[in-house]
Amino acid sequence: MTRPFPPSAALLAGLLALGLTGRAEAHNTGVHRKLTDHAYEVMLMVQKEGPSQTRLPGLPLPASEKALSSADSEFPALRPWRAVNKSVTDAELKARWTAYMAEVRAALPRLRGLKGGLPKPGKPECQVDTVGWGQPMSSFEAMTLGATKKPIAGDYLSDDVDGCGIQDGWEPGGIFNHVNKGPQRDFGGTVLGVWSRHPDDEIDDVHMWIRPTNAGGLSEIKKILAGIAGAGAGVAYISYKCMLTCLKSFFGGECKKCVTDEWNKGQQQGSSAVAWVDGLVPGFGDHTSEQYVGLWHHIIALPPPPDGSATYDTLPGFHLEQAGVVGNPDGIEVGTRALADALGITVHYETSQGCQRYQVTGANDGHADSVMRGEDEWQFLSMAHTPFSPVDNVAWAGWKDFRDAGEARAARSLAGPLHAIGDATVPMHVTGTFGWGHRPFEDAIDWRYEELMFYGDKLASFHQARAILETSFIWREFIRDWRQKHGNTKDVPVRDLVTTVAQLTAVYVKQNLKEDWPFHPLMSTQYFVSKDDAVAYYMDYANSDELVRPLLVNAVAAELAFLTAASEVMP
Amino acid sequence: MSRPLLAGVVALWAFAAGAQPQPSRSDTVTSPHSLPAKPVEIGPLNRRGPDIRRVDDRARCIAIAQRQTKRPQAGRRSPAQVELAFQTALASCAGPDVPPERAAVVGAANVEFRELALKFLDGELSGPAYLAAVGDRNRKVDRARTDVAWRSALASGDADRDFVPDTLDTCPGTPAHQVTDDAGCPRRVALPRQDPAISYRRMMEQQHLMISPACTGAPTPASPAPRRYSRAPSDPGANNEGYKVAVTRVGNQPANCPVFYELAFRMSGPIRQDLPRDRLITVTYRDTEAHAATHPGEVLFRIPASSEGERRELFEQLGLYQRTQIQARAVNGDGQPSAWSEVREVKVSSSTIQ
Ligand SMILES: [Zn+2]
Ligand SMILES: [Zn+2]
Repeated sequence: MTRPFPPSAALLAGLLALGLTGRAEAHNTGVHRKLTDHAYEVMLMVQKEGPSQTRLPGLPLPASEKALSSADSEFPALRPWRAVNKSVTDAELKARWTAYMAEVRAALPRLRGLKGGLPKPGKPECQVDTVGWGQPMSSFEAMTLGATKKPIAGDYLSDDVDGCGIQDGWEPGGIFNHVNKGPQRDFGGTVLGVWSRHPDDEIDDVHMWIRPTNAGGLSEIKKILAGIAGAGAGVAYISYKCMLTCLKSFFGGECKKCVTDEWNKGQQQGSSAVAWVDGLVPGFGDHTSEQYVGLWHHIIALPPPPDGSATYDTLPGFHLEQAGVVGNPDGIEVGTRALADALGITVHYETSQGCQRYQVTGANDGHADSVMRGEDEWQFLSMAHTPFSPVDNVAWAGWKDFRDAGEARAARSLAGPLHAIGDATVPMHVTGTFGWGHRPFEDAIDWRYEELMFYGDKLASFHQARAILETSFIWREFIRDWRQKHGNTKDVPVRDLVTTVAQLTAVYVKQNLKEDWPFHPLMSTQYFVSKDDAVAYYMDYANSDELVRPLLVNAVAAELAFLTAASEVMP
Repeated sequence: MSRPLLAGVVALWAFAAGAQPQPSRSDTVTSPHSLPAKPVEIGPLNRRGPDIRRVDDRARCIAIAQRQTKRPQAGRRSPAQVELAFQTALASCAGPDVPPERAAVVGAANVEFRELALKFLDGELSGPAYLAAVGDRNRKVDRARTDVAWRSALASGDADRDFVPDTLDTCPGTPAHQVTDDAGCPRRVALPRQDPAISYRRMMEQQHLMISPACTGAPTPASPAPRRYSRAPSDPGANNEGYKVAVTRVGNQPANCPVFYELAFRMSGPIRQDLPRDRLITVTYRDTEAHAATHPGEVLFRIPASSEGERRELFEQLGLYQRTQIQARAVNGDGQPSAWSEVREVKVSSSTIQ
């Protein structure tokens, strides 16, 4: 497959030199919401500031501080970009910058007029007027971002959400607490944030099934337990060794014996269940939920595919068989491969919408379509041998819905692209590993987001906002170049965008790689044994804030440029 | 793989597509291991997603495959041979267009991958040896996917199960799971000395599979949201000195299905310079330890001064930091976890909660 990509070397060089090229990291889902809301808050700040202001009205900043959107001849974050775009004169840069700021300002009213697409709250007590939604339940999904009167909690979409899915006491953080405040507060960023966190929620992406064996499966252990007096109502803790015995003996007599023995032993010890909870075999628990969703959230730019493009897509997605850092699996990855094969954990093609939805066909965006696969290639072998589609395809599926939806257009469709940009800035997602410290790395960012991005300090977070805005200008130029080459369309090249973000992350990782950061061969196993220690490793790693921050800045910047460009397809 | 097996596979889809299976003696034979009639779903993963579609033909095809492989003569075959026949039949259930020899290769591959995995999990194969063996089989299975001639040769006979067709195998009778070249002769591979799986094995030895029959069919637990925590009166005489944490109750599990609450506390802003800037401590409670909260949708857990272990550590650290964030999740008795809740800043309430 030949591909008419990659992005210009100049762009890559520009971003790299910035040190702003993030290394993207795959995130714990909570971070996606923060990144997206952050981008929206910067947009609000640009708008409030107004085109002619030299400082933010009412903000307690020193007079000497340059306004956020001023066409400052300095553009510190753009220096490296300018070094490779020498033909752009000072005057030209200022003109483009001013035009961009006007685009950001024009984007906000469009986004505010966009339907949120949130399902109405599930609980009857949350559907009453006194909650203060200001929106009839019959048209709740049509509630626009601008009409959203409550900060939406990140877990709004959960069935059993607490407090009607409203996050009381929500604050945008840092200097934005001074920008977005008062009775006219704008909660649009929280709605976008919920979607960014849940790109798969409305879609039945992946179903796994345990391929039946002639002897049955793990459910056989339950049948054995049901036959033991008293065990049917209790909790059994089956050791790894016993589970293996069961698998090997096709759940025969030896299995029955060890299950019975372990049940009895547990009864004698009166084992406090609590002590065991942290020691669960991955495979029965974690493997069934969030982990699977993440199967579509990788885009492997490190290493680049040998001939410039992979078997099914330009850059490949997750493939357990080749998982690891540059293909070297850590312990968790070897073990998970084995468990997937031993248990026959397999994609259930018929019920997994992701298989179809994330294969790209007829995109016509200058980026090669996917090589299509049929059911056999998805389902014949266990998931260990199944290559998944890359996350830029997830972005494309959402973007196509958004672009073509007309009247029905809703923020929900932006979930895919926004989430994909975030994932493409995570080191583990661009090398296709779910081990090597993936989860603790992401958890550490989730816990430390405010320290990382707002510094707990107004002035510092103001400078950060400016850095985000300047970086987003580079992505704006990226989209603008593409549009000029494609008949000045208003379309957005989301696959190129996500792919480029991922490639930059890969370069950043290579440049900033330490022997034990961000990839650590033992931190994912450590996470299972002692989660807190593994997360603490990343929270306390020397200079980790400085190492991680450029990735986050780049994620917010790319999302900001995307939101601005995306709004332009709206009337 | 034998010819009759292939023929059986071809017939299978026809049965499933409408024709009634021929009643045969085999249908009345019961095996010691009963099979699920339908694939065991581990989903849906998205609670708002549409209901799972069921394709009846598929389920019937699988059910027939299960019955066929349980014929009386199956009793004279080893469980592994029965499994091979079954997996081959199962692959053919993917649709009427699956060439029988493809199904045969897929069936054999799944059995081989399973055996290798078990050997690895059991410690018989080191990580590198396991990866090398799987890599070898992958290469050959992948060739069978695209190279039709190779595939049919393979399906017609591979006595030593090295995935090189007997007709092309210059070294017949290689031992099981041996890495070979494309002529079927043993190939020595230099294995990396470092075994990434050592840490995994060590971890797994401490792991258990939690199973509660009462949780069968339970949905993914809801995420418990942290609401607030408070310090109980620090009257030295009071035996309830300590902290209380209120989280929303996980209400969507079947009766008698145990629910465990995992509460992760992150403390920051140390009150003294000699303390680390961050502390992260996770504690786990079982639902039976919960106290009723005034709000009916909440449960309350205590961290008294008399705690031990992690809880004791938490009790001590909470007093040393200015800021506390809490994240929670639930795990049910089948080890099924909820998503982690949003990280919430939880203020110490001025009045005690109860
Ligand atoms: Zn991730
Ligand atoms: Zn993701």
